[in-house]
Amino acid sequence: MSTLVFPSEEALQLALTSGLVPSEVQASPARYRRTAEGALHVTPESPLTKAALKGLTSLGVGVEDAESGRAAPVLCWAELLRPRRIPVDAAPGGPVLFVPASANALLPLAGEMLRLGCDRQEVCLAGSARGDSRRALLRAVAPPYFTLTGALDHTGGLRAFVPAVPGQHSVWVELGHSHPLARTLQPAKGTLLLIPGDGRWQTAPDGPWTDLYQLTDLRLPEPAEEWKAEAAPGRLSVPLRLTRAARTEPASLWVLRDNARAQVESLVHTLPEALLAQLRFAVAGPPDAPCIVLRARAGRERPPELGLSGMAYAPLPQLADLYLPCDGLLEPPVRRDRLRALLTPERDTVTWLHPTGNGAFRAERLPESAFHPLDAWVDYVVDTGTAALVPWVRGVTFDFEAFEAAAGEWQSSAPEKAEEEDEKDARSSRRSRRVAAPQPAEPAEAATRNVRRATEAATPGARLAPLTPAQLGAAEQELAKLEKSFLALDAPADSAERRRLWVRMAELNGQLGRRRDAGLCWTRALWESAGPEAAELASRWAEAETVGAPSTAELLSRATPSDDDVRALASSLARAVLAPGGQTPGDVPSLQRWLDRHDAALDVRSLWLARASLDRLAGGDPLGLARAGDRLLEMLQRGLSLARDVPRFLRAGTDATHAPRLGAQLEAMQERFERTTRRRSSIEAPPVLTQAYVRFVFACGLARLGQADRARALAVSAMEALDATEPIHGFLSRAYGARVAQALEGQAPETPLPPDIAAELNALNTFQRYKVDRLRQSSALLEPSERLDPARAFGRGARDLRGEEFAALRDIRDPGKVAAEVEALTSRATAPKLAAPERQRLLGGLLDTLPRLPPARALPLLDRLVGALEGLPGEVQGQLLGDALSLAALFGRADRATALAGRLRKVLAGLPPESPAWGQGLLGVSLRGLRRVGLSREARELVDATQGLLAKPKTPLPAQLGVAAGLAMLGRTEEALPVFDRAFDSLSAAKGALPERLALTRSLAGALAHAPVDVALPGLARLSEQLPNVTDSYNTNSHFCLSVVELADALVLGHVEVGQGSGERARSWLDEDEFLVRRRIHRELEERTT
Amino acid sequence: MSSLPRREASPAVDPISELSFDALSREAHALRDRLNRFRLALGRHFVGKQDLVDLMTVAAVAQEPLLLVGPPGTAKSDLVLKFRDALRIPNEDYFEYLLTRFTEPSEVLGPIDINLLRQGRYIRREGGKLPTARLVFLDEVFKASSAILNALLTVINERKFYQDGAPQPVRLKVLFAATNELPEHAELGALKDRFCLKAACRPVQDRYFLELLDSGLDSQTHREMNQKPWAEGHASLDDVLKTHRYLTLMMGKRETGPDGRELRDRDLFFRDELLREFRRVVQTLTREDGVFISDRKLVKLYRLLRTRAWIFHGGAVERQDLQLLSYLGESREEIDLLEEKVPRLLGLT
Repeated sequence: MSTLVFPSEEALQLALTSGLVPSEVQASPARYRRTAEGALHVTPESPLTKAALKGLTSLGVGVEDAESGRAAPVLCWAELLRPRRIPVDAAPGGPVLFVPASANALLPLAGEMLRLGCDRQEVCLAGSARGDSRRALLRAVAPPYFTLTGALDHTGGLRAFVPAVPGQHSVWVELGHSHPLARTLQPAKGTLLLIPGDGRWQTAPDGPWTDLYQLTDLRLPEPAEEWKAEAAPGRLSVPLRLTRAARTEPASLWVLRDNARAQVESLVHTLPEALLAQLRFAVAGPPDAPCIVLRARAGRERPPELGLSGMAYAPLPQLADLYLPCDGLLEPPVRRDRLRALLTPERDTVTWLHPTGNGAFRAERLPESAFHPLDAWVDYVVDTGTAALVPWVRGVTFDFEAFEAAAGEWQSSAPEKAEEEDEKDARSSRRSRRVAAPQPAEPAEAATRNVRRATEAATPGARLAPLTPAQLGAAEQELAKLEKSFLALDAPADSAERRRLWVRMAELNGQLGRRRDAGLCWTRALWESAGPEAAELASRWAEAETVGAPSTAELLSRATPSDDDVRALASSLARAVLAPGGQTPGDVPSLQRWLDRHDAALDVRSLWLARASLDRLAGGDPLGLARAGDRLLEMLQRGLSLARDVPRFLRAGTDATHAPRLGAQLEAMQERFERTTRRRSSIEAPPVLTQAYVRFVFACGLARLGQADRARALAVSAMEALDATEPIHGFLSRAYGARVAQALEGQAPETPLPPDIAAELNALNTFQRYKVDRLRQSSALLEPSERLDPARAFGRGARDLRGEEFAALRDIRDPGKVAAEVEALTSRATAPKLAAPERQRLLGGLLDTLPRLPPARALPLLDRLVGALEGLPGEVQGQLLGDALSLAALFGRADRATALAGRLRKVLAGLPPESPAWGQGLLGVSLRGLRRVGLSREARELVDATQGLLAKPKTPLPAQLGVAAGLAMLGRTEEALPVFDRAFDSLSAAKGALPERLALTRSLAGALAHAPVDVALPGLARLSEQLPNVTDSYNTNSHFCLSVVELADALVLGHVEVGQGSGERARSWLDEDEFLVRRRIHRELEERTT
Repeated sequence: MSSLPRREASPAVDPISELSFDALSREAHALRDRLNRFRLALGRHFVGKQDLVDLMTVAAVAQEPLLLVGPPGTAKSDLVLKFRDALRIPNEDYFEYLLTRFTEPSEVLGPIDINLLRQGRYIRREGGKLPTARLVFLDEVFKASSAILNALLTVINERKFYQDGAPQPVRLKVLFAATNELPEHAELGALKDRFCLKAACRPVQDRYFLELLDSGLDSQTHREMNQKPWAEGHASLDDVLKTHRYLTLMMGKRETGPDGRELRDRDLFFRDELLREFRRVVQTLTREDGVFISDRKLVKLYRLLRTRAWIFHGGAVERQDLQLLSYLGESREEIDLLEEKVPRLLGLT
């Protein structure tokens, strides 16, 4: 048998892999010897053909005749190649075969792995054919790394093997090695081939494998005992008890049972008027010994100390309409929902727990509507003589009303009034009653009189008969049904179908006494109608509004007309113009002057209808109409006002059924912020300060969602935690307080801060301003509009980052001067040789300022500014085009918006995915603008143009989320969901620094807000799980931990946007509605003024 | 070169540093007995803190800084104070300070000498401050300002501090520090790494409620009566320092084996099997849990393991000594994880 001499292992590998050595020869055993030079002398047991030998010699393989006696045997030729070492970075996740040095070592090995948590072990025990030795194999899935390190070290002779080819379990290579020909090896069936890192290859039987647990007897320390379930002995009865608390809460409700009337008289004699204004009262009990309940309004001020001899109560922190004695505590503590069900089952009631001794108590309650302002019943007089004292004494006499008490629950004695009547109306009616009947009246008489007044109000000249309670219920039900079907209707905002619904809703609101909502429905129905339909609607609107209203002459003589009065006049004007044979309600100049003074009470549609009617009645008043147009467009600058222009059912959001869920989640989240233990940086601000700001943020959110009491309570507790005399805390607490108040008033989120508070900003020094601006930058609830860059502003010490010209512009009040300045600046910005950065600065500032000008002057300037955008970098162009598009939408110019959308589409197509503009909501702003002017198709095209970003692998997540928000906005949530998932994954993996994660959180929360509630709410809850790891070391920690407040802000804003009609459908509806308003105004302006 | 002013109460040459290995060998058995009596006796004055007392003893003998991590009220300071009393360390050899972000370097390193400053010299009066103490306890160590932290780095690393720009050795032998939480800022990472051992000081009320009350009341009584029953005099700081020198000399020795091969310390006192186990645990913690163990720390660990082995059983390192690896955590989470995982890896649970 000839011996082949391979000069090196590489040559041998080449011969084996190139097929020069036939496969049947390779598979047969051989003998070999390795020389010191690395040559391999191989003596095959199967002979090679001459052709094969020739091929090998051509490769440089020598052939010798003699076989060396020291040659070692191998199973096959592949064994001649030594395995190569590879690093072991981590424990393999799949199966690993352990071969202990002896079967005795198997037990400790299996025990170690069990101890370290690996129990997926199988054992194969085998004896040698001669029966003189036993071998053991142990196969484990995902063994612990610790055990593998022992095998890597060959501790005690242990070796570990992994499958040579993943998924194939017949050829195993020692851990930390690989064999070049492992993939080609095929051992005999039922046999395992083990390739060690060194030494001879081994084979072993593949089984039988026995699960370790089959070989293991686990013994319990004690025999198990079988227990038998028994029926519960019955429900446990746990009495709730009032016990004494460690601290006394400030009282805000007093129940006066003894000598109540005298006590209140004494109180109003001594209490300052400002404190008196905080109090509301209700009367109950028998007329000869009435009980009076005084209640302080929730607000930022502490409730007054009254020193009354009645029982004083404080609200339960988690249930604002349940009052406990000031030093009282409910034992055992129970969950809020359980407490609510037990003690305040009905909404809009005020409940207090009257202690009856030994921890027992009785829940007593009054409806919320039973409480009236105390100061409305008090007249202050100058004590100049005895004669003057009489009316004063009478002035503080209460017109106590009839009451009923049943089973501890006190029935309100308040007059029945439609719930929509505001407090002001109620007050004025009582005042007039007092004037009409100066003599103190007996309670029973007063009650009778009230009933009479209630019926009188509807009878004379009323078109609709007063409703019985049953009819009222039916009307309410029908209205609720209509509102629901309106929201579900898939039809354009100006469709005839919707008009029919508006008319019916107007009628029903009128029947229910909701005059304001009725007016809003009538004007919507009238807005898109023409000809006879418009005439009929105008007549019906006017009839509805003028029911019970005074004559026009009387109206015009009123110095302080009510909102209903102004709307009645507006409807009369519309009827005069639209209905055939309609009569002018008075002389036009007087009407114009009167409206000039009072038309702020009108919503945008009523206002325009009134002004347009006056224009026609005057035979053409283009100047007056243009002014009215300017005013209206200014009012629309922030969109329709939810409080002023939108019926209540649309204000509440997409679906009122989600409101409790939203509120509950927000409250739970606030609780999470209160209770979560965070990992705090060593210099983080004291939690009590940060928490105060977090409470402010939640107060804003809850106020926006209509949870007034809770919002007020939170704002008060936040305010108490901050030192208002310190400049930064002082400004911020006042600013947040104002935001909460604005939200409670229903004002739009973008409403500027009250001027006195805004002016305080300029009084801060540079560093204080920097810290305040950091929070304004991070809290969209505090500062929803302004783009801030506190660091740059601090570095430059600038009043306005865009330049001193714009800071100066803010100080100019005269519109004419503003226009002249803006025109001069426009000329500078569009000068041909201006440097790009300077042009960018001026263009940005001017686009921000243009809304201050009337459209007629602003639009030509806008065209010039847009023309000057060419040549600026793509990203800058994108942002400025987005601003310009919003402006065009603001002015209702669909033509310009279309052109700008086309340009923007091109710019966005060329914008790199990593551009920060994507994450800054550029797409969302542009889409909103397009929808405002009714360009839905362009909006879809814009989203389609940017959707390609999602397919690019390197698009940053904020950019993807920008697109996803657009998709969700258009109702294509399914396409947005994968982006949300990616963002969540990134946040879960804690990729990037905290500021990046917070920015991503904000983007994600903003995008989620456009998704359906069932997607948005769980998503927002999941986002809040980052809280334990949020902290920072910014210098703002002198006052608050910015990152925590920022997280709270992003989450709360997400909820607010979901809740307040910014969700998918309602937001889209409001945009369309605004478009309809703008469309008619622009159309009529054009017709009447040109 | 202008000479530095002489130290106030400048110590004479430390006699312990002059002792030979043979002299120390003769005393080694007694030293070990005294240290064991010391740690066991001191541990009896605490509830559930014997492990920490043992660790403090090992750290003191190895002269490695030890960081105690735990919420307020878990006896961190009490451990150090009683440790000091039990070793009867005089005031001049002891310095403790509660650091805040407003602490001035002069409060720790000594005030600037005004008279010398007038002469243009920037010299600190170090008497009674950290540079002259042999046992130092720094509470809330990570709250210190960067000036103090930088000085501490030099003190711990090189056992020196700078006077008027010139390095001057400090007498520091044993450093204990405490903190409520472990910072994660990168700038504090350097100081954190200097503490090779970090041990959690946990509340024990759940397991030892009654014992805690009894012990706490006793302790309060002793404090008010100005009694220190834990100062039993079983061992002194000199014993600690002598042991340190003895072990240092021993670990540096080379012996010749029967086959003529030179035998190092690990050949004599660290069996191959345990060395492999040591390596396996370190590799597992590094790979599976991402615990960072620097090369410097690995060497220190060897010394600490040897020290513990010698104190506890006077001979070669044994498996239970490897429990010291439980104290390598760099964050609170790692500390908790390792205290549970290391004994499990070693099969000591």
